[in-house]
Amino acid sequence: MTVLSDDGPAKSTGEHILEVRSLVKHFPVRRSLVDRSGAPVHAVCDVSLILARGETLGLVGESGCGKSTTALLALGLLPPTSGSVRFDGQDLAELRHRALRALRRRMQLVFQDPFASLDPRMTVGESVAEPLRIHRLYREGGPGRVRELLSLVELSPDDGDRYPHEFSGGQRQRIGIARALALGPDLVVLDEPVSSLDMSVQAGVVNLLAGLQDQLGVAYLFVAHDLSVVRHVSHRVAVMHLGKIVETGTRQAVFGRPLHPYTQALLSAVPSVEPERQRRRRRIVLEGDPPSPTDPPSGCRFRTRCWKADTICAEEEPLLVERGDGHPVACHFPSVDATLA
Amino acid sequence: MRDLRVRFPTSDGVVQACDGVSYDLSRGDVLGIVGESGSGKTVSAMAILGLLPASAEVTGEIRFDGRNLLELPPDELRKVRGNRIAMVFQDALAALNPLHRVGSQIAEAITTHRPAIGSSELRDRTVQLLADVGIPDPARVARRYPHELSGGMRQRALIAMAMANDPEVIIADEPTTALDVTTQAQVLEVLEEMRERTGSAMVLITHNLGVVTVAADRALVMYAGKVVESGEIREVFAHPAHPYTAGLLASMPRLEHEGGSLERIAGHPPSLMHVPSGCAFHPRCPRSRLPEPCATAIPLLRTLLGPGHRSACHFAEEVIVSSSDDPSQPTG
Repeated sequence: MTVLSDDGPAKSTGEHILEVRSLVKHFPVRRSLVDRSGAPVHAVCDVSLILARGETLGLVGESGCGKSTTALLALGLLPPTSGSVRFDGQDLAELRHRALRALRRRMQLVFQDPFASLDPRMTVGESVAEPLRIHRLYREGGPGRVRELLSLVELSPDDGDRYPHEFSGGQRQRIGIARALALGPDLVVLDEPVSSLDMSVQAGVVNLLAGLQDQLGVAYLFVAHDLSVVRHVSHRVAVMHLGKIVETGTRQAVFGRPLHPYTQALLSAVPSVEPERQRRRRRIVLEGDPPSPTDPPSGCRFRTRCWKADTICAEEEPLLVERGDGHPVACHFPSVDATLA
Repeated sequence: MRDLRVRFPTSDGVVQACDGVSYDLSRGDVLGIVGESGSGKTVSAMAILGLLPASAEVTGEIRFDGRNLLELPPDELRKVRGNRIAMVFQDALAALNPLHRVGSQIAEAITTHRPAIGSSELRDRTVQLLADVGIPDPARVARRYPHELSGGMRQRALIAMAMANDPEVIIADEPTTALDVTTQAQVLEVLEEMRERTGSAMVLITHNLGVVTVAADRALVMYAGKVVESGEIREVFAHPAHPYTAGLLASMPRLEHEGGSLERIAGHPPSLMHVPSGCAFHPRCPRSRLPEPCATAIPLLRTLLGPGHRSACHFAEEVIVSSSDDPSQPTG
């Protein structure tokens, strides 16, 4: 293995804050009495993503499709089996400990559960100050910075003296966001940031995230299963199915003209709150369960649940290819279906 | 259900989980109860089946087929529960016994109410129920343990168990909340098929307004233990007459609209131990007139223009007019 210097290659053109190339992650499964196969779980298979500065990329898919694993790989919190992650032009795998740590300041994570992700014995101010302390930035103006961060997420600066249990779910999620923003990151990975919140407070957090992005120019990798929320917040969207990206493009392209049958099925399954629209449109109800990631189907991994599946789908894996419209899709028979609108 | 009130005395004070909830459910009807966590929607359903903890103080009337369920002796109630009124819970993994095969748990639901059934008939009935809820290879699945099934399959098994005795009423508490949208669509379809086959009525409890739109005929919106609005889905969602309902609808990101800022409801849901005075929603309400009447007088649930459309807002008429004026409700 070649040894590269800690500073890595020179800063890239600066267009993309995150570039994920051909990422693969297998988790070994221990042989057991129940499962004698010992086949690894193919959690992420050949995933490539790019995220521009100040942009939001929505990563959607069903549970178990590998979206959270992809997020952890993108942050360098899990080592990939193969493939590369470049953050601001620097390959994470080529960085030594100290350089990686310096880079980590610029990438942060907000968790799903605001009840589990804050230490109940630390005041909110201490929680928000923790990243500053770890990176030795607290001494200079730390307390002021904490107050500033709390105002930034629309909490009172005096809330710093209180404990997490005194706050509602929505407020706790704001604290988690303040903590993630403490070090002025370029990228924040949001893993289901609003799905555990009460519906009347979701909108407030979604608006806050959008406002912060405008203000700070931070890029978001927004991982979620709720397509309505993803459509609302994302500039671009990637749809993931069983470890692979099956369709990606701008939000207008993916939601307005979905080409992959899986994307079409996902969208049609979202119930509308407009009774008239609900009655008019056709719903696709998929048969059966998603296949197991330890033993994915041959060819196209969606074919076992796909109404368009033909012999070629079992023989040949469809590649994620673009047809000159900036809207790549991995399907042998991509087409727009007008009856789903 | 008439004027159901449920209180839980705790060391820190009294939790008023349900505060005068009333509704009717006709045969074959689907009523969606919508609310956030702590709105009292689950407690109101648990009361029907007598599943509340002994510490709960329950008053009011739940009439089922002429009898008040709240006054039935325990063994009489047991004859109703799981037989004529059945329940589908949110968390199928917790609702199923991990140590018993799926088939034997369904069989138990049958034998509890039909002890005389023969063993071959019991086996056939069990497998038939699993087939009815769309489980492939039902005879094989009947021999499986709950952990061997996927979330969607477990939820189907739970529905099969609820349908075991052709209940007249199904109470489904967040039956699809733990599921992905594609599985949610499957489960809703199965519930609908089973309901149509048996003619059962259903109380569908959910926080998801979309699920209610798909599956229910009427909606009941709950806030802080009270019903704040009720009526036909079409009426309630197209012309909400309570600021809370209107706010919820406007705050939802929708697939049909994109970008822009979402309308948000200020503040957060109140604790049931410290419900605000007057209208419980007044501290968060954009229309509240303070102090009178909103912080002083509890608004009653009253009938408005539409058939059976009721709202508990002092200014319901104004809310309904402004929501009708603006068909493109979600801004942006």
